[in-house]
Amino acid sequence: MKSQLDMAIRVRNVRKSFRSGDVVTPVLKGIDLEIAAGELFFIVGPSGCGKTTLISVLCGTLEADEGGIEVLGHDLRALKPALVTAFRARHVGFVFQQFHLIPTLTVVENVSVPLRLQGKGPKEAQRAAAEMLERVGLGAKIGERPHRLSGGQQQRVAIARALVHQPALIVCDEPTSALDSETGRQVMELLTPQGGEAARTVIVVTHDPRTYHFADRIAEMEDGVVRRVMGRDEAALAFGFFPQVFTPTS
Amino acid sequence: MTDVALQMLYGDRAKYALLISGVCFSAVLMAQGLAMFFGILSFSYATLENVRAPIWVVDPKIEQIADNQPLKDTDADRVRSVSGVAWAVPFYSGQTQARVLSSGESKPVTLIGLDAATLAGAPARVVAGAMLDLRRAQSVVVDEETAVRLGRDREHSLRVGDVFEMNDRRAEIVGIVKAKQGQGGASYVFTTFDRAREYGFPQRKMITHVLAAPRQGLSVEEAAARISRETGLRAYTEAEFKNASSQWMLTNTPIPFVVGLIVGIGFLVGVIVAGQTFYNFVLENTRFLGALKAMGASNARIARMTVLQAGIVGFTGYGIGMGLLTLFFRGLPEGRAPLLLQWPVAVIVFAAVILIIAFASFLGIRSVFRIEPAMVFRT
Repeated sequence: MKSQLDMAIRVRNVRKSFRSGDVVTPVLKGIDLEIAAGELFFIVGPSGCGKTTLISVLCGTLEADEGGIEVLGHDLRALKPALVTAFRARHVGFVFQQFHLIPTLTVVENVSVPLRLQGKGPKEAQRAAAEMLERVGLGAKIGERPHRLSGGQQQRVAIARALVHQPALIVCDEPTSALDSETGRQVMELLTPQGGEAARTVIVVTHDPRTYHFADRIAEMEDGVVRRVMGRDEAALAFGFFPQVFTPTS
Repeated sequence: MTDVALQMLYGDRAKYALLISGVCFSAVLMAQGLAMFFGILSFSYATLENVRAPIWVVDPKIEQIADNQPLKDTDADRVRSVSGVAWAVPFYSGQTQARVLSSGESKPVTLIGLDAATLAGAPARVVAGAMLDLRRAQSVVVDEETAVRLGRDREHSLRVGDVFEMNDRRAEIVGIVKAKQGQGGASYVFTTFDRAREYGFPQRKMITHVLAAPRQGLSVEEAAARISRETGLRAYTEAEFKNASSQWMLTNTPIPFVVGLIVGIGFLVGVIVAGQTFYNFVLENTRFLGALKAMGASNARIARMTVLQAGIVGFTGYGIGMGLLTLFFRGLPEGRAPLLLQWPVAVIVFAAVILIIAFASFLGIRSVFRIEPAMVFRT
């Protein structure tokens, strides 16, 4: 276990319910979790178990009803909504299942959005975005509109957008579920913190067992609670994966 | 983020065109309704535009230019004797029938009798012949519309030298002028005051108005006030008489109601079409706006982007709409169509478009505020 200072995320007894009319549905039923800085952390579990709600709470897009949430040293529940928004802009990168690239912007404009939100000018932001696109292998596509790219390429653009402002936390929601094995592998390799990027914590919510072997640790959720948190070896035994699950499709 | 907001708007040209066309259509509807309103209103004071005089002196009971309450023959002299009046001349305006000799067909015309010595108030834009030839016997000057109407049974409209009859008296055309059509589409025949006595329907007193002007250094308003005070007659400045004539039409005809209905429908169409289209535009962008919110865009920032987009759509639609309408109006025959695209039309339509934009923005911002950033994980 890492020291308190090395912890990127610390969650204590977090609860969240949704109300629809008179019906209250508890979704998170007391989550306790710690995620270390630089960790590639997976959250897995069946549909409806609360994975998406948990990452929404962790990154501050959703407010918890109860419990303590400390992310990168900030007590999110104590922050005013405007400060939570500013916190996300500065410290969090997002990779969505459906990419959510703005179709009327070019690839480089899409990638530059997080920097624009931080107040950077268009030229400076697009220069940094172009460099990031080079790093994810899409340097030749900067002027294209997203719809002209394949699904894998769009997800790489989304990853570039998540990384461009060098956030300390990246939250990924099913980043490979719409991709073939080879493209999924490439996407996971891009998300995996490399040497010199130790401070970057990546949380991945996924249903895709092909990617489990990338994780440093895996939290298995069920019915609104974390059943267990597994290290690599334990996860390999539990899910039966081998070091190289992805194989080229051709 | 201004450029991002604009890119989101301009990026889908079909949607952008649809958004603009809603506002454009609405602006055109409202502007043409208002132009029609001002156009019809301007008919009420057409004589005042065709016969230019700084001061119009009438019977105190007169409310508008078309009212006919003759003055005494001595009234022109009384006005002339008021201190501060440079000149004052008798004037006649009335209806009569013009008969085409070749076919015997009669057409109603507005007969204008001008002071023979000065021809004060004569129309300024002569297209053929000369106003001064009115001093010749049996001479008249007609406007283009009269020339066309009386020449319908010929190969061409009437020209200088052609002859017709009014009140069984011969009238030879010595000039053709441009003039604005009056109420009921009336066309004009100009002659001298004395000759108008013969051409018009006979009545005991023939002076319908006295035209006057102030001496140099005295304002028109002051001179008009002096005339009213010293003669007991009513002296209008040109602007006051136009305004009084318009007011009379507004309060005594259903025109404001009819035009108000057209303008109101245009506004409603704008609100519904532009508001709904813009609301749909925001709804279609919900997941992208949600992604922006998740990535750290505040509600205020996205609201500003939405207002900017609505503003661009509104102003562009307004500009195109007014531009197209201006071009269309320029293609219409001058003075005939009851359409007047004056600056108040542009201002009123602009204000209405601002309201439409505000409504569209309100709908858009309301839906933006309802977007939960967490929704991007569910869609």
